Order: sequence, then C-alpha cells, then structure tokens
Amino acid sequence: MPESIDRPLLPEERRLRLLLRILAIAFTLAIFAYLLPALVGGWRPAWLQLPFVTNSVVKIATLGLLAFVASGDVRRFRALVLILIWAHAVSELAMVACLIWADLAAPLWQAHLGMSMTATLWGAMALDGVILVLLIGAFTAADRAHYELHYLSPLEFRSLCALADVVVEGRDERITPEDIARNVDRYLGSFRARRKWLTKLALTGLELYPLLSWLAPLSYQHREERAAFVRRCLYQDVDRRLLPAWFRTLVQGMSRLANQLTYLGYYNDPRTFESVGYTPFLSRPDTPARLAQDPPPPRRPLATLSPADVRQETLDADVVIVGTGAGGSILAHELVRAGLDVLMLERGPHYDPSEFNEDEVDMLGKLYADGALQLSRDFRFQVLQGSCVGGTTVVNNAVSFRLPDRVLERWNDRDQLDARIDEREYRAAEDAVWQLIHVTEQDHRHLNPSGYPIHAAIARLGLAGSPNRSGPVAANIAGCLGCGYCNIGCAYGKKLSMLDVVLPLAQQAGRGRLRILAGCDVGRLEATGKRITAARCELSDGRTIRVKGRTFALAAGAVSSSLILLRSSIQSRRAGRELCFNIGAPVSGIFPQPIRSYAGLQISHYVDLEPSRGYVVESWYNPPVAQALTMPGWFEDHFEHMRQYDRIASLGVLVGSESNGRATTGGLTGREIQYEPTPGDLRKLLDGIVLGGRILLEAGCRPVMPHTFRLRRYSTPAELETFPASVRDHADLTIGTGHPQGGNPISARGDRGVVDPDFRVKGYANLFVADASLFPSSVGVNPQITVMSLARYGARFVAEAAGRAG
Amino acid sequence: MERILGPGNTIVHYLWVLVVYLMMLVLMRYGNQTVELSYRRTRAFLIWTLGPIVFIANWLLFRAGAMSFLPWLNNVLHALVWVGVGLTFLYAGCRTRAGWEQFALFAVFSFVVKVAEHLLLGTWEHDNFFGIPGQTTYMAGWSALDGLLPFVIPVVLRQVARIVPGIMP
Ligand SMILES: Cc1cc2nc3c(=O)[nH]c(=O)nc-3n(C[C@H](O)[C@H](O)[C@H](O)COP(=O)(O)OP(=O)(O)OC[C@H]3O[C@@H](n4cnc5c(N)ncnc54)[C@H](O)[C@@H]3O)c2cc1C
Ligand code: SF4
Repeated sequence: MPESIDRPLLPEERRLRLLLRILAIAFTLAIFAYLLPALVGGWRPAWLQLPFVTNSVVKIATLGLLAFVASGDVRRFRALVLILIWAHAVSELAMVACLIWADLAAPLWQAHLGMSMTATLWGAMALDGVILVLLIGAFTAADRAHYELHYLSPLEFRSLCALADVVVEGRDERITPEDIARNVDRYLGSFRARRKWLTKLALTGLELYPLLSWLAPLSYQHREERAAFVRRCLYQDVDRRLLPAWFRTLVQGMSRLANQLTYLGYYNDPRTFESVGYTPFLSRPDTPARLAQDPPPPRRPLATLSPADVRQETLDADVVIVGTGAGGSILAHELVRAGLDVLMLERGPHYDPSEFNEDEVDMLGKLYADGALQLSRDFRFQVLQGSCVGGTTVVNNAVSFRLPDRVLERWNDRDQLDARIDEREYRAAEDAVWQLIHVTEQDHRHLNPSGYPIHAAIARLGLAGSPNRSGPVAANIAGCLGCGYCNIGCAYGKKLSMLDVVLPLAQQAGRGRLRILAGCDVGRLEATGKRITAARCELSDGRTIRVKGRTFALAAGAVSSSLILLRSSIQSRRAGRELCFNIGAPVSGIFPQPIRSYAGLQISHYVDLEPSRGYVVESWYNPPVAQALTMPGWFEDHFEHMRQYDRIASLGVLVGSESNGRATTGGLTGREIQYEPTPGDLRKLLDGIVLGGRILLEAGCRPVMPHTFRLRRYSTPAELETFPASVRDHADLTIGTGHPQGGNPISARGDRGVVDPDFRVKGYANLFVADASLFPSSVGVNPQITVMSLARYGARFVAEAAGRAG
Repeated sequence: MERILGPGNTIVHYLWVLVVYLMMLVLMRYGNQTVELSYRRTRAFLIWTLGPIVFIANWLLFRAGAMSFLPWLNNVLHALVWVGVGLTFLYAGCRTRAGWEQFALFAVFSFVVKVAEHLLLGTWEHDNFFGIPGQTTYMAGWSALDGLLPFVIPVVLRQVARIVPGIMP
C-alpha cells in the first residue's frame, strides 16, 4: 500500500512513538521481573512450580521487541502496533477465561506471595487493559491524523485504498489509490445523510471479508493475492451464484457500494479527464462562442430562510407545504396567487445556481438525497432524488411528456383505483404548466452529439414514422448551451426549473406571502382529531421546531411523503404501498470515432413505439463519474471502456413498473425501499434493451453492451437477440430510477388508496398530497409534467380548504 | 392485604396477569399495528374515562350483588390497564369492522382475560349471572356484555365530540 512516508511525523504519531518506546522499556524490564524470582529470594520455591513463567517471558520479550521495532518508524511498521493491540486483547480474553473456568487454588502461590491467584489475575487484567486502551487511543489518533480524514475511519480508508488499487486496473492510471480514497473521503464528508454509515459498513465488511476465506484482511494482502480475492469472491462467486441468496445480496451490495465509491474517487479527479477524453465545459474551445451566442439570462432572485433565521420554536402559516420540488412549487405558485400565506419547508439546502460548479461529486453531495447513495433494501436498485430548494427539478433532465391517455384512463378505471381525475380540467392544468415553464421541442444546435446518428438509425430501422413517436425531446429548457450538466444543476439559467423560474415567480407574485425555509426536515405531523395542527421538524443545525398551519400539503416526493405519513401514524396500513417506478436500464455502444456524447444535452432524442410495448427509449449520457458508476465491465474492462468514454453513446430504457414496491420506516435507516421488478417488467426491460442495442448497432456502434453485472458485448443483431436468455433475474442487470412514483395513490374507493380524488388524505380535513406519490400507477414516461399538472389541478382543493379554514 | 390482593395471592400472581394482558395486546397488534393519528386524542379520552368508569362500576355492581368482589389491585389492573389500555386499543383498531366482528372480538378477548384472572387469582368467582346459574355462565355473561361496548362507546363519543374538539366516534 502506498504511504506518504517522507512527510515529517505528526504530533499524534510522535505520541504513539513515545508510548511504544516506553512499552519497549517496560516489557524488557518485565522479562527480568519474571526471571529474577526464579533465581533468588524466598519466592523461588513457588516460582519454580509455575509453568507459565516460560510462556510469559517469551510473550513479554516478543511484545517488547515488537514495540521497539514499531517505535523506529510508526508509519512503516504500523502493522506491528496492530499486533501489539491484538496480543493485549487476546491476553485479556484469556485471563477472563481463566477466571471463569480455571482452578485457581494454587496453594504455594498464595503462601509465598501473600496474594491469591484470582487477585493476581485481576491485577494483570487491569494492567493489560490500561496498556490496551492507551495503545488503541494513540494508534487511532495517529492514524486519523496521518490520513487527515473527514469522514472515513483509517480502517475504512485503507480498505478503500486496497480495493481501488485492484479495481481501477489498466495501463496509464492517473492517480494513486490513496488519492482515490482521499477524494471519496472528501465527498462523504461533504453532505449529511442518514444512510452514509452504510458506506462505512460496506468498507469495513470488505476489509474483513477475506477472513472468512482464512486470508488476511484486504488491505494486508499482497496486491496479486488481493486482486485474485476480489475477482473470485466479489465478482465470480456472485456471478456464478455460488453463495446462498441472502449472502450474495449482501456481498453484491457491499461490492457495488465500494466499487461505486472507487469510480467516483477516480473519475472525478481532473487529472484523469484527459485520459478518458473528457473536457469540462468551461475548458472546451467552443464554450466562449456558445456563451456569447446564448448568454445566461438575468437571474430571478429567490429569497429563502435558513435555520439561522429561525429564532422562535414555533412558526405559523395559512398553508404549510412540505417540499419545494415539482409538486410543491407549482402548488405554492397557485396558492400565493390565490392570496394565501404559504410557508414551504425544505429538507435540503438552498443553492443559488451561481454556486453550481463542474465538480460532479461536489454537486452530487450537495443536491441529491443521501448524496445519491439511496438504494433499495437489496442494494440492487438505485433511487435518485434531488434534495435542495427546487427539489429534483434542479437535477433532472427537464424532458417533458404529457400524461399518456392510456394511463389516465387506467387511473380513472372504476374497477381499478378509480382516481376520478376530471380529464378536461387536468388537461387544462397540463397546458398551463407547459406554458408556465416554457416547454419546447429541443431542436437546437447543442443536443447530445450521439443523438443525431441514433435518430438516423431509428429512422433507418423504420421506427420513426407514425404511429410511433420519436425525435428530439420536448423540455423546459431555453437557449441550452449543451454543457451536459443537467443532472448536477444548470449553472446558466437555461433549465427552467422550480429553482430558476417557478419559485421566484411565485415569490414575486406573492409579495411576501411565500416564505421558504431550507434545511428543515419534517419528521412527523401532529393532529387534533381530523385536523393536522403542526409539523415537527428538525433543522439542519440540530434544533427541533413546530410549524403550525391551518392547511398542510405534503410534496416531499414519492417515498418521503409516504414516510412522513407512516411516521405520523397516518394511513399506516396503506401509505408507502403501491410504490412504483420508471425503471431505467442503460445500454451503451462504442463508436469507431470520438463523438463526445458528453458535450451536449444529456437526454436529447427518444422513441416511443405505438402500440406501447411498455417502455420508452431515450438517448442519454453523463459526465464521467455518473457514466463510470454504471459502465459495464470489471477491472481492466471497465477501465478500457472508460478510456473510450468520448466514443461511447448510451440509451436509457424506461419501463413503467407495476406497483409492487413499498416504502417503510423500518430497516437499518428508518427509510427503506423494498422493490424487485416483476417477471413482466423484467421482460419489458430486456425487450427494450434489445431494441436499444439494435438502434446503437444500426448507428454504427461495435460492440454494444447492456449494463450488466457480468460484461456482455454484442456486435450483430443476431448475437444481441441471445441477450435476454442470458439474464436470470434483475441481479444480473444494472437498474435504477430517478422516477419513483406512488405510495399515496389517489382513489375514490374506500378500500384502496391513501388520498381522495380531492387530494385530501383520507380521514383528514386539512392534509393534502401534491407530488409524485399521488400516482395510482407508474406513468411510463418522464413524470415531471404529470407531477406539476396534478399539483396545479389539485391546488383549488387546497385553496378551498385553506380559505375555509382561514 | 387480602382485600387488596385477594386470598392467597401475591404480587407474582399479578405479574402473571400482566403477562396475559401483554399477550392479548400482542395478539391485537396483528390486526392493527398503530392507532391512527386522528384517533389519538379519542384514545387518550377513552383511556382516561373508560378505565375509571369500569373501576367504579365493578365496585357498585359488587355492592348490588350482581358481581363477585374484585380485590382492589385486581380491579385497578382490570379496569385501568385491561379495559382502559387494552380494550381501547382493540376498539381503535376494530371500530370500522362489521358490528358482529366487533362484538365477537370484545367478547372473546374479555372472556379469555376473565378466565385467566379466575385461574390465576381465584376472582370472577360467582355461581350465576343475573340468576342464570353457573360459574362459566357468569364469566361468559359479563364477557358478552363487554361485547356491547363497541356499540355504546360511539354513542357516548358522539355526544362528547360536540363539546371536546378532536374527539371522533
Ligand atoms: C437524475 C434525474 C433526472 C430526471 N429527469 C427527468 C426528466 O427529464 N423528465 C421528467 O419528467 N422527470 C425527470 N426526473 C424525475 C422528476 O424530476 C421527478 O419525478 C419530480 O421532480 C418529482 O416531483 P416531486 O414534487 O414528487 O418531488 P421532488 O421534486 O423530488 O421534490 C421533493 C422535495 O421534498 C423535499 N423533502 C423530502 N423529504 C422531506 C422532508 N421530510 N422534509 C422537508 N422536505 C423534504 C426534498 O428534499 C425535495 O426537495 C428526473 C429525476 C432524476 C433524479
Ligand atoms: S445542457 Fe443542461 S445544464 Fe447545460 S446549459 Fe443545457 S440545460 Fe443547462
């Protein structure tokens, strides 16, 4: 393992050295203390009968030698200190065992020393205990200081270094494993999240996992042995399903998390950019021209409150809206225009777009829920959600689809959920939203460069004509510069998100009636009978406050809104159930020449077949970190693919899932997402991936690679057709979502749903829901327009209730 | 002491009674894990009123000769813990079910608890239920009357809701 050996010793390391020197001397003296009574004095007869003296002399001499050598260079001989700690811990355990089970009535001992064996053992335990505590304290302090860690412990840090050393594998590596681990530590230290400790668990598990195979911990293995171990135990055993299912889930989850951290640490480092052919937007040669042609528009100001602005323990408003994302912002916009006094509570922070930068990892930590680490219970399904003022619209791709007729029909089906959404009013709301956020077809110069050959391939395959729909996407984007950073926040005011447009407009229209409190996490609600009276919140500075209101609306997004209900014991039997998603599965292809897919709008083209096959295919590309996180292949394969980053194009297959997911307050973090795709959804995914692969092949890519656990490459359509048969279940695929929906579905039925058709939570007079959790089923297309339109449609119900309450 | 614990009873006997209550609560939780937020205030109201009312009623009915004497600790636990907490929880969970189901649940749970108290403490010892002879009849009779509680409670709650905000029938 590389170490920064040449730096001078830090004060903590010098303290450890001093302790080791003292111990070396003490242990040496102890040798004589053991031997002398055997040679001289009245204790001799008793001593000669004690067989353990020899062992003790050997032990103490060895420990002395270890301490002596380790004190010579505490960095290089770090492992010796660990052995010293280990020896003392074992010694303590052995003495406890003796106290419990051994026959300690040695009469000679008592007679000559005037002390019982039991008392002697207690004394020895106390002495060893003190040494143990001192050693652990000094060692941990020295390790922490040495690595200058923000979040990880030295053990986790070393585990990550060890993994990075073998996972990022190929010619021309640009940064060291230690650099990678340091980048990761900086990232993990940069945001607050409940699930962050899972990364610690994964790295600790990884370090100790080799012990099960009777091998040294990961960071203590030789590189070759370690590489072989990682290949065999983290990859092959999982792929061949040699482990029991529950254990395989754990191992796969652990390795997924740890691998992702590694890629994140490597590919976010600007020193690696050139090797993958990536140029950040501000360094691209044509950027000044693009900026001159489409300069950023003047910013609309948005005033928010932070916890520091909140002095009192109770706040008050006509309407309290939880969440400032797609649903919450549109609702607030409507309510302030209706003359109501609105207070929005947002868990995430408020960043002005001018604070957005090109550092992917920095932005992931700042703008996403759980720093983008949110996974389902089996660690196999990533659920991305924004967490900042503006919600997920700050990090989304702005792709806009109207709610398909067939979906609205299903929602309103009297034999199903019977949502009773008035179609005419809903469509009017949709039109209004479309206009408010300026949705237009994106036919400008700066689309994803891979979108053009992909679009041509769709046409050649005969998929472009009616009744299919295809072409450039519609989006709430104006004057796009094609920087490719939609998922880490648009710094140029081009994406007309809630943060950029709707909230500032609402605040302007409201003339002081719209307040937004950022850094305020709503835990649960309080009620008197059927009326909600207050929300209990935790501020980001650790204080708790109560926010009183006359009317409350939950717009915390799918998952979170259900969890607030569950934590409040509201609709406990139904909230969180019927959770669904647009599951995304990517497929990538390598072009023979550079196409720089990253240098344009991330999602630019799509194809939606009619009659629907249950999926939409969209062109898709990411800056290097996000791309690396899902890039197929392990070790050198992954590395080689990333080296061809500027020649790769990707398509995303979106499948509207069945409603078999569930959000619960259980699990390790009190926030658990349970989900596995049904066989039907898996079939649709595979069908979509094959179609995506065919489009990429037609566009000229060779090979194409569905994003799978085991790398699979296909160079002809005939080969590609064999792909579905190679997939046993979803564990073989890389799947995830940015579109969680449902959990609090609307239904007029008494025996189903959480929310009535007037958006009121069943059984409560003044509690409403206005976000993606309302969906009775997955929409199957990008959902933001539906979320916003539903919020606008439902605003009149909230306004009526608030008006009455006022 | 005999009037408090009952003849031959010790605190340990009462601990066993509490264990029985606990087991009943665990069973009830299978049907309904939590009490809906909107019902919390009503539950609190029931806990603080139903328990004391039953406590007093038990004593008065004993004085009237309709019930056997419940030692004071037995009466306190039965009225305040079992009826106050246990049956209130049961009511909060099953009040939207069909009437016969509510009746059956209340009657069966009450019967089980009475039998347990009878076996453990020797209480609920009486040879008739309003003239109908039989020890078992006595316990079954009072359990059947407990089964009527879910029909009485909403009537009372409806009246209370008129004056106390947040109370739901
Ligand atoms: C990477 C990505 C790309 C996407 N691209 C598209 C796209 O191109 N087109 C499209 O249609 N959709 C897209 N989506 C999805 C779309 O943005 C969401 O479906 C939509 O924003 C959901 O709106 P919402 O109001 O339900 O929740 P959100 O917009 O997620 O807003 C919820 C807000 O509530 C806050 N919150 C949560 N819990 C609490 C709490 N306890 N207390 C206080 N506040 C809380 C959150 O921090 C968040 O700000 C994308 C999503 C992602 C992740
Ligand atoms: S690509 Fe996305 S982030 Fe970049 S300017 Fe266009 S809308 Fe903004």
